[in-house]
Amino acid sequence: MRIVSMIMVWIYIVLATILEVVASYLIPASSWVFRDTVISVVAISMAAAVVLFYMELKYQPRWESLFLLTTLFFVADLIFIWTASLVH
Amino acid sequence: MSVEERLSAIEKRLSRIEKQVGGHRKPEATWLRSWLFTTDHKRVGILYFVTSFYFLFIGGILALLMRTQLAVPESTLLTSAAYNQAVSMHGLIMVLWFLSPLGVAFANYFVPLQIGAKDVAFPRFNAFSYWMYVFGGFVAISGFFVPGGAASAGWTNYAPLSSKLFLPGGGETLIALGLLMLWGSLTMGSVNLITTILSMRAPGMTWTKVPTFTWFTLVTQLLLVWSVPSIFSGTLALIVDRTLGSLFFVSSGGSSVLWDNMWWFFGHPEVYVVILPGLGAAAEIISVFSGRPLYAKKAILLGLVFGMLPFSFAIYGHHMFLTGINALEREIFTMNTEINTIPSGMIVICFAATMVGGAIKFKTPMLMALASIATFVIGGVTGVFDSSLFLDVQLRGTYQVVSHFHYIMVGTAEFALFGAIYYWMPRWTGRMYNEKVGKLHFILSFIFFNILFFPMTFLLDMPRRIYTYAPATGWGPFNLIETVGAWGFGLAQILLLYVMLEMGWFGRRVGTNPWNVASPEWTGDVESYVKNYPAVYSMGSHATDGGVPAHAETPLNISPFVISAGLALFLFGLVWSLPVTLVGIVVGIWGIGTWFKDDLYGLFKVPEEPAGEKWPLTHLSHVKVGVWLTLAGEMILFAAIIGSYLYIRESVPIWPPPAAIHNIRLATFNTLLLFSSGLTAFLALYSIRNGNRNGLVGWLGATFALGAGFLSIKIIEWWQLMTGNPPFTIASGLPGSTYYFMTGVHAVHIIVGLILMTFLITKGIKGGFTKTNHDAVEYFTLYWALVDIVWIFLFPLLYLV
Repeated sequence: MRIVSMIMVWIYIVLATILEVVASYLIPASSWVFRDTVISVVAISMAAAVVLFYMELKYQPRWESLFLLTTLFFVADLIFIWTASLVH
Repeated sequence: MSVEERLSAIEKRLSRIEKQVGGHRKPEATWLRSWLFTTDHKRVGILYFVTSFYFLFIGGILALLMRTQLAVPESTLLTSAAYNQAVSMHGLIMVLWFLSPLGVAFANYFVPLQIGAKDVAFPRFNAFSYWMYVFGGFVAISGFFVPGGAASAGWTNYAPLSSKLFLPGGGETLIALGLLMLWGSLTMGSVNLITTILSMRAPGMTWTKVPTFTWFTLVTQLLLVWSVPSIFSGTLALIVDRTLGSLFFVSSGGSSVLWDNMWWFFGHPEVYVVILPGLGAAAEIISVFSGRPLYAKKAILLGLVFGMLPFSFAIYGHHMFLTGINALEREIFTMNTEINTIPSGMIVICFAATMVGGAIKFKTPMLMALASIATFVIGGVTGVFDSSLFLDVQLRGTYQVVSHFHYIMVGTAEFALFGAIYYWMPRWTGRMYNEKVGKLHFILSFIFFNILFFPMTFLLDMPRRIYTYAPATGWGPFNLIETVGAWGFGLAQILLLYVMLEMGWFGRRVGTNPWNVASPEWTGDVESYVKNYPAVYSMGSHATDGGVPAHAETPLNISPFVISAGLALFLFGLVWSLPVTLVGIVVGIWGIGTWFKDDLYGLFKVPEEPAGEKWPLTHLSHVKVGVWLTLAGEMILFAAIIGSYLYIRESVPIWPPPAAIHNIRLATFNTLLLFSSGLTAFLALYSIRNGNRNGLVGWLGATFALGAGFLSIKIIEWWQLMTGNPPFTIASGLPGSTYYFMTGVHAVHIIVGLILMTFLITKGIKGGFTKTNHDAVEYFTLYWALVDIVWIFLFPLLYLV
């Protein structure tokens, strides 16, 4: 039942948000790499859930993902080049 | 009352309203109105064409002023400030308001004709793109009339030179505001043209049969949709820096390299945006005048789509070799740049191979196309030197670079587009130019162009941004020759004006297809062009203008003109005076209201397009394709904003812990409100899919309430932070600048969502959506999901880490 899936996704997003907040409090700032990795993974999983369910890409023919995937390539390109430009 | 009766009552009511407002909405198409309010792709194309030449005139005058100033040493014609304004505005106007739009003019007119579409996918947005371009140009140029003069930080608006610290006058703000309008225009235009090509091809117009110019246009527009949002966010940050005092480009944490990244992520693809439409036209011209099909067309297209397109985003750092960016990154940029010469080289070789063995006719379009290729080779070869990290250290900022990019931007693009004018204008007007005058125009242009730019190749030690120089430098003779070339090149364009007037008004009448070309924009017959398919639609069956096959015109609409004018007044007033801003707001709201009203009552109707070739997007409506492309642009916009934030965080050693500034509990609660609205938006869609109109309105209402609640709490949060002790404002440091900027841009998206919801709820209450007709709700759900996704990343970045 798709409506159930949508409500489950919402519950997951709520719980994941709370998990992020808890992680930011519990993991000390000195372990920021671990903390940021955990939060990043959770955030990406939440975004993926929204894309797959609320944007319904899970239920659409694969070609509908064309724009999203090609744009993600350029998003990754942008983020990588910009952040790498300062690394020495 | 049964459903049928209710529908009948609604139809009668709509018909009554249409009659009442029809007098305003569908004015008699007087000459002026038929141009101001047109949404027809052919007229919009012609408008782009004429307007781009208006901007060429301004940019050309500025070029002649600069060259005259530099003709002799220690000239006093221009002051240093005036020279800087001339060089900056010349670059901006020529690249962004002349060359790119001239390509768009041809794309607008010919792409639908070439692929057998009745019009572009979104005619009203097409007109909106045009007016945003025009009024954006007016806002930009108005800088000449404000204290301090026009923008003078170069065409790249390099920061921190473009900041208020160094250029406090209004001109720099006005160029940024004008650019903002232009970026909007380019994004809308690119979404429109891509959607048209992907989803509106006539039956049988499969990818292999799509004409070359349309292919080149597709790649051009894809480049725009992925590159423009980066500089959109950069320009927005620059405006916020200049008007609200944020510190993106005037602090050691933000600084010039951040702007460089934002600018060149757009700026280098823009080079291809400028040259590809011309090269696409040159491909058609060379094929026609050689009497042979384009050699290895598939190889060229593969090189474009899988080489030039992605690589142009991975080589832009060659503009930043001397900025101190990462050493490995510089080496990769060098390598990528040199790899990217392969598809460019393929184009040249394939064009040359097309001519081999052909019955070449050296008519003016062909000569212009050949000049374009010749200058492309010269510009390309000099570019290979510049792409080398080691040589670039020596050549950066000299006139050698000026020569290189003018061979590409002027030589390649402009000659090819001149060729396109000679080739295609008889199709517009049914009149032919004088071949002798055309050839004279070509000869003078080509000779004087080279007199102008070739000597620059040898000025290896002359800095490109100086307004005068001493006699002892020895640069005088070179500069004098170049100035003679500039005047000659400029004056030669009087001949172009003559032939354009000739083709427009008094030239010899010719048949519908003077070059005897098989391409459908000439014959009007897609069916014959693509052959062997079950014909559903042929352009030849439509209305004709002067014997030339043409489409029926799409209706007039005032909204694009009014909204653009309102926005221009609003932005203009920010620099000039508050009352003008207020007038702009009123005009803009009127325009938006008219737009929505037209949609609500179905007053703007575009003829239905018969089903055609859409592979691989066969299951998608063209509107949904447009929505996805818009969301793609939005993704890049927020990627640029988040990328800037990460860049700043990386370069600032000490960053205050978020908990020391923000109320995390309140922010978490607010976040959950927004995420809940994602579910309610989907439930609204779910309801109408099941035919539940009350459910639709109810869930949309809930989404509106949650979105408005999120926005209200956000405003309260801003207020508390700004009035706290110590106050946390946009000007109080980079943490403040990034926080307010990121949440502010997101909040604007929330506001847009609320406006869209208002429209949807109104239409829902009026019974405008049914179980089978609710596409707008689906598109809104996609948009709102993206707003959610953005916050999924902003929330931890701003509040948790």
